[in-house]
Amino acid sequence: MSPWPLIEGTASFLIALALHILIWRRAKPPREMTWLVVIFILLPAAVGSAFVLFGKLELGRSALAFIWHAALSSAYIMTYPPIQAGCPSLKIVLAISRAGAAGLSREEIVSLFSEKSMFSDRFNDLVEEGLISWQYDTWGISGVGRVIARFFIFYRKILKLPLGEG
Amino acid sequence: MPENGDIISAGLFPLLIAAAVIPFFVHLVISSLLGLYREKDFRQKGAVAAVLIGLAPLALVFVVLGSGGQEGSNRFWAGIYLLGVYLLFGYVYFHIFNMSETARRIRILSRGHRDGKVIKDELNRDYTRREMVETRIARLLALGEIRRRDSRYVGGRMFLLWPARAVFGFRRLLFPERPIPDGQVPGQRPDG
Repeated sequence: MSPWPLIEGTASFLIALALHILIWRRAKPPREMTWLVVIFILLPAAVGSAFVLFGKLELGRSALAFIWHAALSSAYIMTYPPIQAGCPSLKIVLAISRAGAAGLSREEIVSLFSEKSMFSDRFNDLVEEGLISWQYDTWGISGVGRVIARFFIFYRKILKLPLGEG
Repeated sequence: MPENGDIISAGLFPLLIAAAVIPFFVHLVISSLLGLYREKDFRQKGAVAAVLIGLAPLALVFVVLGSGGQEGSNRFWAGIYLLGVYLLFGYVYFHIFNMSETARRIRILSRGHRDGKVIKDELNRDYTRREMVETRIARLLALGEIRRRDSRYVGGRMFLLWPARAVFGFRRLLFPERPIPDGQVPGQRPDG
């Protein structure tokens, strides 16, 4: 095997990343996760397939390059939620680092966060992603939301762990 | 130099599929069968351990079977490629587990699914800001990221410091108009 699939996969990932940054800086689209999958997975897959179909790229090498691209992209997509939501644990680490030897008290750490950022914003994210919707007279979980909830409940069950505490 | 057809015959593609699922199956053995890392504050360590332990069987199969007669630089690059893909898949697996453990959105969905509806005020009352922050402080203490000194929290190993800087730095690049949550610069003291 040559290093070319690694180089080509990395290059296509960087192109997708640049496109993502450009779009987000102009106007972040609704349903962010869906658009991330389109930009990082579906669009490159379609372009790569077209090149292979028209005989411009060789199948085996392109497949290896795409797998590398998909692995990098999946890692980025999984990192995106903490970037978007501002991961509280990472924020605590930064705050304590900034405080230096004096450190922070529990109350000072709690005061770094508002109720809005810790709960309401995350609730609104679920509404925006279509995972929660207003049904008759109350909020309910949508079809996709139920699939996700069932997946995580089943996953925790087979690991013999209780549901996560959030 | 072998053509890419040789890579396929060398079994790299089956190894790539294995790389995607090994962390999960190792974690299943660690947590479900052996009962390790089930305590609340050590579960994330279990997922990390699963990814690291999973490297051993993958490397063994690659060395014994997977290189399929490739030698020299071909074998070297195939190994680098497989290692890279495995570590990236391992990172993805860790995040999936982490979501199940720590994500507020997953907790809201799971609770809503269980109850058949989502009552926002009730959720907010049962799952307060203080509880969320204290859960995270406990996890960071268990991971050794922070330490308790008297009644204050100070830096521990701080392995997460650079990832934290990268995440918030990238956040500023991606959302230039959006302030850091709660309008504070990360790391700035509340009175700072």
